[in-house]
Amino acid sequence: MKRIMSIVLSVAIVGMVYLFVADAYKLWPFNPTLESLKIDETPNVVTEIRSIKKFTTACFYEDVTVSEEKASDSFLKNLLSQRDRICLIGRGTIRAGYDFENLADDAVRISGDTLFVRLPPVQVLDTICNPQDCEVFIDDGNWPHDRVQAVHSDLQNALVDDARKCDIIEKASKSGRAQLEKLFRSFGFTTVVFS
Amino acid sequence: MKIRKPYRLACLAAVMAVVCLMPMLNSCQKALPTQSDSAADRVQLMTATGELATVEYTVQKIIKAKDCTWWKVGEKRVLFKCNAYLEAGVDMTAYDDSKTVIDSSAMAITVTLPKVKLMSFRMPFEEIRLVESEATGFRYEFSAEERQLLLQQGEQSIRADVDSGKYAILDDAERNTRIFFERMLSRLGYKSVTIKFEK
Repeated sequence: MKRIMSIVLSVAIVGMVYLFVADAYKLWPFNPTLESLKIDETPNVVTEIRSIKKFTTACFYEDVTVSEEKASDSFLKNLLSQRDRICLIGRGTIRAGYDFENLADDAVRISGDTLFVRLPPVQVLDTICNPQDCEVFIDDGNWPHDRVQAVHSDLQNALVDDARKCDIIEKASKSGRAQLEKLFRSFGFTTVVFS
Repeated sequence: MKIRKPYRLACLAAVMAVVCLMPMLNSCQKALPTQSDSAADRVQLMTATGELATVEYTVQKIIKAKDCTWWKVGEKRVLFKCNAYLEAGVDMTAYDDSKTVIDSSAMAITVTLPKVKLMSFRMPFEEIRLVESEATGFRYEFSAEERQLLLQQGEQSIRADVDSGKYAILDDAERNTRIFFERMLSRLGYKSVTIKFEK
């Protein structure tokens, strides 16, 4: 009887230690492997179709790593001075150019064979870092969706900052003017003046 | 202090459990990778393009998943709502100006533009809304890595619809591009404007 008691007690102690650690480190036995995760079939619905006039003249591509730490919700991890951590690796695209929606009515003036065009300012048009372009490299601890969104936002800001450091605006402006000049010349103008 | 014999096994089990788990706990906290400050160490590329996007489609999707096989204790489910933006238009770097024909006397112009195509696909993370996430029994809510995997599948699903030609985005892009060039060339003084697209 005593032997049975001791075995039961041993199993109970091991079980309790396991549950305590599993709770802190997500070691539950019934979690799925990543490969087995599948979304349900749902329709993709077009909710809006709109006319745009965006002329992208420069693209910047970069791989960025963003990491974040926070205090853990787990008693055991706090006891061991460990923190929840996340690390995202993103492959992003920054697109810059002109938005011709902002072109003023009097932006184009003709004088003989010369065309005067007042272009809108070059701007960053899009920051593209889709889910397929982003990998969760480290996912340690509890990271709710809004916290991951904040980390993702940092990743996008890093992309835009790097693109600006690489002079995307100047390059987009130079490339855009060259292409527009070629276009307007093919429309019969000998001189194209941008301002 | 002498431990009574029936409890020796229990103590041994407890010590063994802790000893076996400690290396695992220590390995969990390695230094995080950091972004290098030197631009030369990063993978970067800048290219000049000339993409004129004339139509944008907004596609909304509900991404939902659940994991509740009978032999697992408890279940977990998640539901997202997200938007994707598709842009289409013409790539002006492929514009061949030798195909443009001008009749100055009649103030008529015929412009042949490159074939319209899909320019960009954007699924902004800030517009992905977590509507519901719950877990019961011995289950955790979906982790950041698992959620990312589900969102990737959602993106794949929208891209598959685009690739299968389900949306008339290219027809709309052709129509809008034609209107854009017709208006622009009319403002430049042409009375007759014909816009064609390469096949």
